[in-house]
Amino acid sequence: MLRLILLLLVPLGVWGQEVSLLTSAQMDWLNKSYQDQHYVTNNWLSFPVPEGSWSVEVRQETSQGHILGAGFAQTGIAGGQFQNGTVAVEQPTTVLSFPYVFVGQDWQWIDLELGLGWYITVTDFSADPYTNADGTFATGRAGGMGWSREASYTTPVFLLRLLPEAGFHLKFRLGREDFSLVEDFFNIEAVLPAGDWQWSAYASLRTPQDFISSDTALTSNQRLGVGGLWKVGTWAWGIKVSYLLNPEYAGTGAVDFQNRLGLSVLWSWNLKKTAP
Amino acid sequence: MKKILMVFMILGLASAELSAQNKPANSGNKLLVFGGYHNQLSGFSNPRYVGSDKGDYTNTLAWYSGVEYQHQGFGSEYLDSFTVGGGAAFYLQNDFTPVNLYAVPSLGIPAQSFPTGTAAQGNFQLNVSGFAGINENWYAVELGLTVLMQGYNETTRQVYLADGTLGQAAGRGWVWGDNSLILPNFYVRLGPTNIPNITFEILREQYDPTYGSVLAYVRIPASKSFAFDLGGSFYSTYSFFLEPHYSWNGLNLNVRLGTTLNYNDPNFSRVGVFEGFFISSGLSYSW
Repeated sequence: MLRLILLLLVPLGVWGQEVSLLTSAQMDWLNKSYQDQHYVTNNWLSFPVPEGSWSVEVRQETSQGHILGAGFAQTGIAGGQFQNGTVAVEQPTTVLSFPYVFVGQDWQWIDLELGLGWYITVTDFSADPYTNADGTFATGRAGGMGWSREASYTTPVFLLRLLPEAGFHLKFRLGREDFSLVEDFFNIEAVLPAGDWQWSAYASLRTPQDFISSDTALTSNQRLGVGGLWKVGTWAWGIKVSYLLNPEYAGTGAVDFQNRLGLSVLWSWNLKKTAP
Repeated sequence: MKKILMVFMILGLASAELSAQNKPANSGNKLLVFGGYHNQLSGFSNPRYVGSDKGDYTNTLAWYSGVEYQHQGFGSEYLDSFTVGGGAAFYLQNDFTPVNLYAVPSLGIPAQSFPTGTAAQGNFQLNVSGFAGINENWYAVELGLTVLMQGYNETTRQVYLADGTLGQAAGRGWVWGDNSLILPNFYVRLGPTNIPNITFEILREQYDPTYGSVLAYVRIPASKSFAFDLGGSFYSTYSFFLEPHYSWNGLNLNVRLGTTLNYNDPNFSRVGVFEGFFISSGLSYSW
């Protein structure tokens, strides 16, 4: 898939006058919720498992402001189990992959980019025995990593930038630029460029609800974060720290402070060609 | 690999040449015919599975075909961008092969068959639509109505026998159902057609009447005669497709290859990779 996206982008090296590449990596904890059997009330708790994300996005813009780009993001969630009294609560190993493509128009004061993304969930299914007619068990469905169609989606992606990029500006993003598929899929970012530095604050929001069934809709956690990006020529390095507000993806149980923290690093390359 | 890259570089140069043009490529009249195939699934809950996922399914073949005509311009400067059109699409699905499941007396599970009744029988759907809108260089918006008329293959009917018990009688064959619907259709293109653009649509152009009636695609024109679509549907299934287009003297041929990602049904959490593939093709002529 990545090779296909790269092949599709080759002709655009001619088409685009500004080419940028943005990569990011993020580390967080996924907090799996469970109902503690020892308590009668206020019994929703959670246990953490490590979670890591990376993303890459290529974007090209012509001198007329026409935009075409594509990206790929992936989030991996480690498997974990917590013994809660007589019940074992499990978080299966899960890998979320998200290729996407977008087009747009940059009018300097407003930049609107729309596209499509494909959210593909691969998770560790447990083996599922099948009952024979006499009540004994036979081998049913095999366990192991498999494509969960129930948790895979097609979704629009977008980026709306208000105010010129060179000064203070706001970005509304769904599945765009640097993001984790679980932690900040839909977010609002305020960006303040200051010389070689660029400071930012962002809040990730609840994902738009599926119009068919909210039970099976694409969900994402909500976080607050701040970041800084240091530009050197065509390169830039950045770091963002964030705090988990609402652990919606794996259920809403009480989460310890240290398990709410997240850290991401960014690396980008931006080349503006001289107009032909 | 280098040769492939060279080909794409050449296509890119042609693309740059095209961006100088400033005319909607789909102005004038356009006639589209299309057809496609997908694997239709019918899900059910099978209590013989021990785990929490009881979902299971059976499948059958489904075909669809359609035609759409669009006219733009009415001889007046003020109506140059105005479009009207109409279309029809037909969907046909075979009977499902029933799945017969044994009883498990010790767990109180009876013998079962899935699917049952009209859900097991083949069905068809005829969609007839009309629409109107505007098609400008930077955008196109078209709205209309589509009438969905549905029917099914009634193979058997349950009847009372002379002694008051229930029995089976032959059905009436292919009959129209009484569940017709009128729905809005919708088409929005954002961006000129000679540069990468995005389209959102409901029951328009080359759609799958049951599995992909709400869809979107990003079109990447690589040269005057070649374009790529990357798209997907949102209803009734989520899907991904890749669609190369080849155009020559007003004729446009496309092949859409894709896979269903999500069937919007909890019984289909583990569907085989190959069972989700679908294919369709369209041929259009613009003049």
